Amino acid sequence: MSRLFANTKPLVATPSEHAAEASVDLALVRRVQAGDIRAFDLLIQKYRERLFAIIYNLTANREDASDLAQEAFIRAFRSIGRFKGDSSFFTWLYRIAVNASLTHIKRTRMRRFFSFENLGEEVSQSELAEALADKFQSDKPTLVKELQEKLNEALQRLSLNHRTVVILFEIEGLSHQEIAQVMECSEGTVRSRLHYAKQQLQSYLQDYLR
Amino acid sequence: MPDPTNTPRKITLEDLLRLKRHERPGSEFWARFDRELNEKVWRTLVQPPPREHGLAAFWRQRVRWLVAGAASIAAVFVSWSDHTPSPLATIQPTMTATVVANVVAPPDASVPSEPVRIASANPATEKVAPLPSDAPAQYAVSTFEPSVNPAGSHKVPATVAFAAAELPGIHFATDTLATAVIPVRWRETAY
Repeated sequence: MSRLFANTKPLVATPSEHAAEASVDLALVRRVQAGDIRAFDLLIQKYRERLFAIIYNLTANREDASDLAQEAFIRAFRSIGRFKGDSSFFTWLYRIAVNASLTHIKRTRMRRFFSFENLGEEVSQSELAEALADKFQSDKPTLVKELQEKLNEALQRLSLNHRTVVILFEIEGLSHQEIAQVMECSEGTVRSRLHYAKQQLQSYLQDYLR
Repeated sequence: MPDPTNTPRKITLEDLLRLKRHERPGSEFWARFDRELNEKVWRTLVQPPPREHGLAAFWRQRVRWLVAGAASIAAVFVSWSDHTPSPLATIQPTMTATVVANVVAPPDASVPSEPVRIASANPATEKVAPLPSDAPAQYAVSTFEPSVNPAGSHKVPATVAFAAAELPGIHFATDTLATAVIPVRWRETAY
């Protein structure tokens, strides 16, 4: 697989990294359950960007994503006393966020507005931008902006379940097992949804692929 | 001859999707996010949680009502049974019968003929003589000092003689009282 972003490190952690992260999180959760609110602050700082990114990619609206991410943290705070540690804290938190987002999307289906985050400066300098500029004989910033819009439109055309799986796997780097825990379905379902979703995206974005 | 190093890289779907990892808000956004979230968390601490919704919440509420109802019924039952003598209940020293000293009563047909045997709670300190099997049902019991009372002795003043059947807890079957803890000292009376 080509890597057109030189500085993009793989998000998929090794099992030992996962285990270490899970035990750190569990210790913080136990502190929160014992009444130490500052421990919850640490969890917020650790997961807020990832949580926001998932919700933003699901909703394609940064204001909604901000509100929903805060709501997800509040719900987690309210029910943290019931967290037993059967799953890792972040899959539990992600599940709360995904459910809140899906509920919001279903409720506001008729009045959705897209607002996109700015792309980092490094994108315009990346090999992807170079490759696109070569293909379309156009300037990079314009192309990158156009690509961002097309990408978000393509994701929004997917069903909620397919969109969620693609975001969690391809963008957030979760494993199939973790996605199954977040979405409360089997790993087989995750794989089949991912396969179908990528086929759909390939057809929507074929102009940009070669 | 084409230069192989100039071959354009293939752009994949995964490459395009990874573009989205670079869509990030700036520091001003996070400052506002943290501030708003902090306010909401503190508001959560002082406000009650919202009403639960959904089928699961419906059944959770029903189960809570059932448990509360059962607990109420159990509480009523326990308080009722506290006032109703039970053969298996531990009889507290304050609830034991008041006692009579040296009162002799004539035999009464209404009194159960089966004598009641009472065991001392502390055989080492209490001198208890077993009842003769042919002893009459009516008898007198002297004042006692319950040995199970950790605060010291608890004396019950003598009052009026009454039939064994009227003694709370004592007129039940002898077998059950064999297990009852009734710290009592008694003596046979003469008829």
